[in-house]
Amino acid sequence: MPTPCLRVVGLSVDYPGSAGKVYHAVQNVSFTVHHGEIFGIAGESGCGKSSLAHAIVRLLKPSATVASGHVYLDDLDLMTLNEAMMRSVRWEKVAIVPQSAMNNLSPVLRIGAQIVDAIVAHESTSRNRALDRARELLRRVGLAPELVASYPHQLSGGMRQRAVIAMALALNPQLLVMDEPTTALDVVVQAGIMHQIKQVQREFGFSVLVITHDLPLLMQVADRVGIMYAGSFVEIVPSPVMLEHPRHPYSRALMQAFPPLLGPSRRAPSIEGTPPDLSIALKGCSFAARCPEAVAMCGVKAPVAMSPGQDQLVVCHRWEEPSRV
Amino acid sequence: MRFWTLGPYFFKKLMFAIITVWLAITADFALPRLMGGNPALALASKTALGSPAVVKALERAFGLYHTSVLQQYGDFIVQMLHGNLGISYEYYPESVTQVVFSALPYTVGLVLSATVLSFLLGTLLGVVAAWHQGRRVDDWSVGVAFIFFAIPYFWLAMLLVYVFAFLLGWLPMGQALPVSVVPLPPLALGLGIIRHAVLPVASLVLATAASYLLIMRDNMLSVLAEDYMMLARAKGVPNRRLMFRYAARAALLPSFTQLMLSLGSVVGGALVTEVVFSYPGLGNLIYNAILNHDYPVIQGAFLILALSVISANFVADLLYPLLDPRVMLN
Amino acid sequence: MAVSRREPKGLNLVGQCWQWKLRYVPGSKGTMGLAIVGFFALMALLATWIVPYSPHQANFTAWQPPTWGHWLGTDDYGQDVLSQLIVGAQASLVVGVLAGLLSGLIGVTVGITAGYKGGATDEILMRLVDFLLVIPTLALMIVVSAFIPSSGQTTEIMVIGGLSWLWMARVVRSQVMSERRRGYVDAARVLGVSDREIMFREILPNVVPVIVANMTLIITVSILVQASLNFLGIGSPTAISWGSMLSLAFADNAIDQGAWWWTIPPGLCLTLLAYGFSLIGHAILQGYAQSREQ
Repeated sequence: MPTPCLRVVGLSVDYPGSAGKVYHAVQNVSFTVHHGEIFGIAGESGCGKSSLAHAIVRLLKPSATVASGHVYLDDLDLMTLNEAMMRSVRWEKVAIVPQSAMNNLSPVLRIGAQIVDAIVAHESTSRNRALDRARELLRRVGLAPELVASYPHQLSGGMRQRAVIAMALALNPQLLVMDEPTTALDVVVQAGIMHQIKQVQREFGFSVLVITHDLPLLMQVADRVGIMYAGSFVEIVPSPVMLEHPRHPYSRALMQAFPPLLGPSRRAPSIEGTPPDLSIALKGCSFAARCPEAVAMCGVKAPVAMSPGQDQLVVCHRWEEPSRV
Repeated sequence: MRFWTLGPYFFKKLMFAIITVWLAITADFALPRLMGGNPALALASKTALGSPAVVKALERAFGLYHTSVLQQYGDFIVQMLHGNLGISYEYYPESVTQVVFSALPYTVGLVLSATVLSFLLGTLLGVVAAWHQGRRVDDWSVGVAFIFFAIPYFWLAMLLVYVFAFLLGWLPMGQALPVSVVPLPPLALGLGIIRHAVLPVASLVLATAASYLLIMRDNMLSVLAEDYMMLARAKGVPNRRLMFRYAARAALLPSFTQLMLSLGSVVGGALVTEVVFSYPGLGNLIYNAILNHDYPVIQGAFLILALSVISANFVADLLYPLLDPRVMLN
Repeated sequence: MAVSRREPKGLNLVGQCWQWKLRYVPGSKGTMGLAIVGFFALMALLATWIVPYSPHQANFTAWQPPTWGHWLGTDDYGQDVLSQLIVGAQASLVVGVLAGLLSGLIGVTVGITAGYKGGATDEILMRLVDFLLVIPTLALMIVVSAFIPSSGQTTEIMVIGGLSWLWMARVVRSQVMSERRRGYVDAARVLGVSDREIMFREILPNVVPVIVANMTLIITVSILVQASLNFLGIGSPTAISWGSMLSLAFADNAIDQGAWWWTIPPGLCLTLLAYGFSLIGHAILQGYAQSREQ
C-alpha cells in the first residue's frame, strides 16, 4: 500500500479580473501523489495547471489568492505555515522547477554559486563544501561537474534547464514540482531531460509532480496522469490505462491532438471550440459545449466524480459506456 | 579570466576612441572658423582693438595667415601633436598648454570624486527605493530625486556657500588651497585641500545623485520582475543577498553604461560649480577667458576637456568586461 | 478604449481640457506639473501688467530687504527684485520651450530616419550621436556661444536646441525599431507606401506620447542649461532672466552681503519651473506605459 507524499484537498485559486470579475482558475481540486511516484498533470494552456503547481509551493503571483483548501506534505499543512516557515520548507521538502521558457538563472552569477546559494540558505555548511555538492548534483542530471564555473549564457537551453533541476535537487526534497520543465526546448532534448529525471527519481526515490501540455511525452515518464480542464481534474488514471482506455472524451481528444513521435505521421485533429469563461459558474459539465459525445443531460447537470479503481478518478456522465472511438 | 577573447571588443572601443578624438580636434579647429568667419576679426571687434596691426597679429596667432584652410588644419594638428596650443592673451607669455594643464588637476579631482560618490550614493538609494517599490521609502526617494533633478547646479552651490560658509562659517567660501604666508606641512595642506573641496564636491554630488537614483531604480525594477528573481527567492536566498548579489549586480550593468554617458554632463556641471567657488579648474579658466576674450585659452581648454572625457570613457570601456560576464566570455 | 465617444453638445471647454488631461497627463503629479507650468506661463504672459515697477527702474535704495514697497527687496543697483523675477519668467519659458521644440524636431528626424532605414544610415547617425554624447555638451555650448559674434535669445535657442537632441534621437530610434517589428509596417510596405509616408504617417503617430514626454524633459534641461549659460555671462546681455539675475547677484557679492531675497527667489523659480516640466514628462510616460499594458 503506497503512502501519500502530497495530499491536496479542495484547493481553489482565484484571480481578480477587470470590472470586479473573479476568475476561478483552480476549482476545488483534490488529489494525492504517493511517495516515489511520478504524477503528471496535462491540459491545454489556461486550464489552471500552472496555478495549481504554484499554489502548492505557495509562489502564486501577489494578485492571486488561495480561496480555500489544504496542501499536506506528509502531515504538514503548507497553507497554515507563516512565510518564514514556508521559506524553510520550500527547497528542503518541496522544490520547484519553473518553465524552461523563462530565464531561471541569474546572468551575473556562476552556475555553481547559484546552486551553492540554495544549499547555504538552508544548511550551515561552508561554501566550499556546498560547491562540491553542486558538482555532484550537476553530474547527477547529466552535466559536466566543471560547469559550476560557467555562466548561464555559456550553456544551451537544455543544459540550463538541467542546471535548474540540479538546483532543485540540492537539498534532497521529497517532492519535486515541475511546471512545464521542457516546453521551450526541442523535442529530442525534451525527451532526454524527462528520461533523466525519471532515472534520477528511480535512484533517489523522491516524488515528482510534473505539469505539461504534452500528454504523450508525459505518459512515457509518469506513473499516473491527471487531465485538467477548466480548473478541475476530469480524469486521473495510471499511464497504461490512459494509453489504452481513456474514459473521458476530453482525454481522448487530448491524446489525439499529438502526432506520435514514432510511426506513420498523420494530421493531428485539434479540439474544436474554446474553454469556458472561468469567471462564470456553469450549470452542466464544463466540457459539454465542446464534447463530441455530449447528451442532453451534460448541459444541465454537472457530472459527479466517480472512482473506477484505486487512486483513479473520472468526471463524466457517460464514463461507464464502452469506448466510442 | 580569459582576456584574450576580448581582443575584438578592445579594438572596437579603441577605434571609437580614436575617431572621437579626431572629431573633437576637428571640431575645436572648426569652431572659431565656422562661427565668426575670421576669428581674428571677430575677436578684434569684440575687444575694441580693431587696428589692422592687431588683426594681423591675431591672425598669426590663430594660424590664419595667408594659407588655405586645409593648410591651417594640417598646421593645427602638427602644432597640437607638439603640445602647442598657442599663447594665452591674458597670461602672456605663458602658453595655453601651461595654463590649461595647471588648471586640469582641479577639475579632474572634482569630477572624479563627485562622480564616484554620487554614483555610489545614487545607486544605493536606487536599489533601496526599488526594493521597497510603492512604499514610503520609495515614494520619498523618488519625490526628492525629482526636486534635486530640477535644481540648477550653480544655484545649489550658491545655497551651500550661503549656509555652510556664510551663515555657519564651517567651510571656506571658495578657492582650492588654504591661504598661508609660510609653506604648510603636508598634513595641514592636505586637510586644507579637502576642506576646500567639500562644498564643490557636495553640490555636484547632490545635483547628480538624483539621476543615478532614478536610473538605478528603473533598472532594478526591471530586474526584479525577471523570472530568476522569483526562483532565487524560492530557493531561500536571504533578502540582503537577493537584493545585492542577484538584483543590484544585474541592474548595475546598464547603470554603468549610463554613468559613462552622463560623464559629459557632470563635467558641464563642474565647470559652472567651479565658478561659484572660484575653484581654480578649467571651468574658472574658461569663465575668465570668456570675460577677457582670451580665445586661445577657451579653445585649448575645451580641447583638453574633451580629450579627458574621451579618455575617461575609454578607460571605463576597458573596465566594463570585469562587470559583465557576457562581454567577458563572448 | 473608446476613442471617439460622442459628447453631449455644449460641453464646456474646461471639461474637455480635463478629459484631455486625464487621458494624456494622468495622476496628481501630472496635475501639479501642469499647475506649476501654467502659473509661470501666466506670469510670463501678464508680466507687463502685473509688475509693480519697471524692471529696469534703478532709482530705489539699493540692498533693501523685503518691505511692503518691495516684496522681494532691491538689488545693488536699486532695482526691484520682484519685477525682475516676473519678467525673468519670459526668458526661461521662451528659450526653454523653443529650444525643446528645436531639439525635438532634430531628434525625431534623426531617430526616425536611423531607426527606420537601419544599416549604414543608422550606423553613421548613431555614431555621431555617441560622439556628441561623449563630448561635454555644456562645455561645447559655452565655447560655441563664446565664438558666436552675435548674442541674443535666438542664438541661445539655436545653441541649446542644436545640441540637446541626442537622447531624443536614441529614444525615438529604439521606439521606431520596436514599432517596425509590428505587422502594420510590413503591411504598408507591401501595399507600396513610400518610406517617407510610412515613417511619418504610420510610425510617427504611434510614438507621439514618447516624443512629447521626452520633449518636456528636454525643456527641463534646456531651462537649466540656459540659466547656467546666463549665469556665466553668456547669452543675451540685455534680456532679464533668472540666470542673469543670479549672475549679477553672484558677481556683486550678494551672498557675502546676506542678500537672500536676491539670491533665493530666482533659483527657486528655476527649480520649480524645471520641476513642473519634469513632472509633466513623467506623467505622460506613465500614462503611455499604462495604455500600452492594456
